[in-house]
Amino acid sequence: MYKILLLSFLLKSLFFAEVITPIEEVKHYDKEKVSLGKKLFFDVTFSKDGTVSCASCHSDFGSDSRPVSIGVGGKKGLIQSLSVFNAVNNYKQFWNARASSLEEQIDGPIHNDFEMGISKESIEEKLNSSKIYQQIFSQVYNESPNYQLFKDAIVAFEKTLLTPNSRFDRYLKGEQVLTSLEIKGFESFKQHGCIACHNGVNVGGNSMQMMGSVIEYNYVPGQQDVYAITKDEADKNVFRVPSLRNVNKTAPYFHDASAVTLKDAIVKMAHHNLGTYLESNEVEAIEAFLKTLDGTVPTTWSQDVK
Amino acid sequence: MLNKWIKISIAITAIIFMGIWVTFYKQKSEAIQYRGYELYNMLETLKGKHYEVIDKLLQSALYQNYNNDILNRQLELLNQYEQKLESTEIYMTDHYPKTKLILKKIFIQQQEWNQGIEIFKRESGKIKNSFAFVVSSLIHLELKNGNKTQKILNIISRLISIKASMDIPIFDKDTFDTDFFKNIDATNEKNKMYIMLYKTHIDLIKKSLPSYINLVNTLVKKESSKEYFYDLSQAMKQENAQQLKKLNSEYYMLILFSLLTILIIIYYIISSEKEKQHIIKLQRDYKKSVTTDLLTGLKNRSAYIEKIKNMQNCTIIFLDIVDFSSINNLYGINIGDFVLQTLGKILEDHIESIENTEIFKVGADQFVIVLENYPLEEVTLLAINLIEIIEEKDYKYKGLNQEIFVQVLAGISTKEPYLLNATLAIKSIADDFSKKIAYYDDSLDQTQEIQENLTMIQKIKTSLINDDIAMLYQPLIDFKTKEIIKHEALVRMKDKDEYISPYFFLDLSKKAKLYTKITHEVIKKSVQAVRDYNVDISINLSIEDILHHETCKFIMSTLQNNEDIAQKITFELLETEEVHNFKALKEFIQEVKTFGVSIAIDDFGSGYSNYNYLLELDIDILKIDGSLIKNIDKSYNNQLVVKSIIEFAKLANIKTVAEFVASQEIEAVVIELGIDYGQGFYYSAPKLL
Repeated sequence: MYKILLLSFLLKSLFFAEVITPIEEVKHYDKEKVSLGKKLFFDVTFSKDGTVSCASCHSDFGSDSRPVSIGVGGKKGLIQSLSVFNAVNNYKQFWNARASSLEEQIDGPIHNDFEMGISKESIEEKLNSSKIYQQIFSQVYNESPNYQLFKDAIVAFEKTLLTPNSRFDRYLKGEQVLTSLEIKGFESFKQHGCIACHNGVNVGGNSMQMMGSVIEYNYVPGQQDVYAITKDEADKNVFRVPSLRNVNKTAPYFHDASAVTLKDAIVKMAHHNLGTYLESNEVEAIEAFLKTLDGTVPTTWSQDVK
Repeated sequence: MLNKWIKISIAITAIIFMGIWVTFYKQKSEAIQYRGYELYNMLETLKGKHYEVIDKLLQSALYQNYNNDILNRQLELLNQYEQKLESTEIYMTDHYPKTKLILKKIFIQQQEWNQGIEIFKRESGKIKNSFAFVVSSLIHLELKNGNKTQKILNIISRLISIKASMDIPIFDKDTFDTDFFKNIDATNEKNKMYIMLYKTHIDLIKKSLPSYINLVNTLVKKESSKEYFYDLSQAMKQENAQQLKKLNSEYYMLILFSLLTILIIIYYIISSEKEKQHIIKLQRDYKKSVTTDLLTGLKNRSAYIEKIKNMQNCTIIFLDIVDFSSINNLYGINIGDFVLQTLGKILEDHIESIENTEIFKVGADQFVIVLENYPLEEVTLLAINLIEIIEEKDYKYKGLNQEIFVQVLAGISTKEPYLLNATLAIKSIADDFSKKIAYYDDSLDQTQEIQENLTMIQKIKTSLINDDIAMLYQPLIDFKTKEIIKHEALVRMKDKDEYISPYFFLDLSKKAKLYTKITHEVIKKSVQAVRDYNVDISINLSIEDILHHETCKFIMSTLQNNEDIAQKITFELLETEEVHNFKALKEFIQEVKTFGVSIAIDDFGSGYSNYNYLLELDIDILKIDGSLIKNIDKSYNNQLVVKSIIEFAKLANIKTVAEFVASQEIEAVVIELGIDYGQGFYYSAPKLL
């Protein structure tokens, strides 16, 4: 019995167990700070015209179901909103990975004229003119509000936004049995090489890849790819591989929101990035597998903190 | 010259400074060593993390399916660690310039590496997918020909071997022969599509694989970074050692400086101590010269005063050389000095062995021995002993044939003022030849007498100037003829109408050095009386006078000038006086006799009554001591003594004189006894001629 256990552990570690790892639930966090972060996250005060909050574009499972988000003054964004759920587990933030931490990421949408369009000074002014925020900040930080603390609270909140207990994670932990279709989907996922990019705890989000690495994908000048930063021809259409966690709940797909359904997305990916053709039963199986990655909505998101 | 205490405090400061520095150095050197150790560990950890990343990178390249989270995580740890190094002493201080430079190079390289790893992930995903596709192509393609199957298998095995070896592949025409696809059933739509995809993947592999393998090799091998790590630890060690070396040299310099300071101060302290010693010696020498008698080397009067100041319960023996001035006069100062030196030496030698005694030379010819806590008896014994030693000593001076006689008197005092008391004590026995030692006693306080003496001395001086030294004459009667045969000249000092007896001034005149003048006056006046009154005159001379060179000379010249009347002169010599220089006396007598002068011995019978001496000296007249005569009519004993003297005198053909004949009864007895001449108040008191 002991030997069998040991053997199974060894086999697991050698093969797939490490390739995708389950999300660990956040158990300990500063509730007051997270509560403040959540309040800030949902507060439209911190936008140029007081119409947009962080949550405006990160509401549907932390993502935006619209192809592009609508910012202050009804301006349209440039890219499909990525989910804030499990974002902490991505090695870098944004489609082109230009932020290496959540703190850095916040600066982007906050100051972007197409999104919230507000300066650091305005935020601090707004915070300091609010008795409630002054009180909460002094409770949490024992000092008056400032932009740094503002970000710190939001990040604290974001760090709790994990979606554990997906069926696949429970399967990995040996707590759940998957259907044969789902298993087949996972096998196909590996066999066709999806897993080469979609691995790790977030099933993606840990490397860069060119959209259309095998068969060229439509390039739209001005899009926020790596080329936008490096101006290197080789970086055109290069994006951070997105996480497949809760992929079933975060349509539409791709940077350009070109795939509306999950099946569309699977087929497109197989064509452009795997250079292969999937039979419809394989697509169905993979879809079934991807659906097992749906986790539970974070409690700090769905319920009042405390 | 710095104050001694300032020097000492500087020395102490230097020592404290040294101590602090040693402690400081120890701590600092330990800190540097520890820091070196810490930094070395950090650099080793950096290296370890570096290889950790390589390890994960290789895993990623090796496994078809790999969790890139692990590689990312490891790379992040490495980058974080590099940031941590930026807050160490290597970056924060200037002590590690070379190490810092190499580290910076490594960090710059790290940025390239980070980018390289990003590309690696991108490329590896692509290659892995293409491999996956090619490997599964046998499943997708419907191949009817075994030969074709073999061809595809060849391609697959070739790819697998390339990936396994990770050698940069050289693709030849056969490797990815796509011609054979033409023979595959292209009418089948599915086959058609797969052939197209197959070609795409083969092209992709052809294009990407060499650069991918090259990239992996570059990232993994990183030859240059290996060198960098070696250089890094070498530079760090070297620079750490340099710091220690610098600290060491500073340390030794400061220690040296401190030691030098201390040495200089010690040198100064020693030299000033030497100077001090020198000054002390000078002081001592000076004090000695002040307190030492140059002639004898003994301590002098000042030293004595200093000594006696703090003394309690002490006794002094005061030694006075009797008539030292005549030694000087007779033999000269050199011999006088010789006597003093010899005497000093004797005393010194003798006293040396006696505890709690000290000797001083307090006057020209006076010595004092100070004794502490000695009973009077012992002191007396010592005094007797000393007198004996002094008087028995042979004082032989080179070139002087004569023997020098030295006599001392000792005065003993136990009371302040010691010296004065002792002097007075001696004075009390100065006239008493039987006594050599005198004790201080309250009754001997002669302060008043000293005053009187001073008055008298003044009187003597005045009388000499005013020619007030007068002569009275007492006649001598020849018992046979009842005629006056001569007069004894007796010196007096005329004070107004009085004639003062020599008893009151003669001794004082000796002390006041006026005696010689008086003697000369006596001789001069007596001789003049012989001439003026044509009488025989007898003049009293002491042995002292005869031995006194000047007086002696004066006598001789007087005799020469008055040769015509010399036979009318008699010299009376006092028998009582002890004669030390017998030879000189005899010569004198012989010489004056050539002028026809008679010699008489005065006061015979009271003292030594040395008959042999009378014969030897060729005496003419013997004057029998008055004490024998004045009671002769009542004392049979005196008659016997006088009778024997007369018998001797007659046999020796010496005339005899009876003094103190005060009555007819006495005259009758002395005539009866056969005395030749008489003298006394019965006949006449001394009177002017």
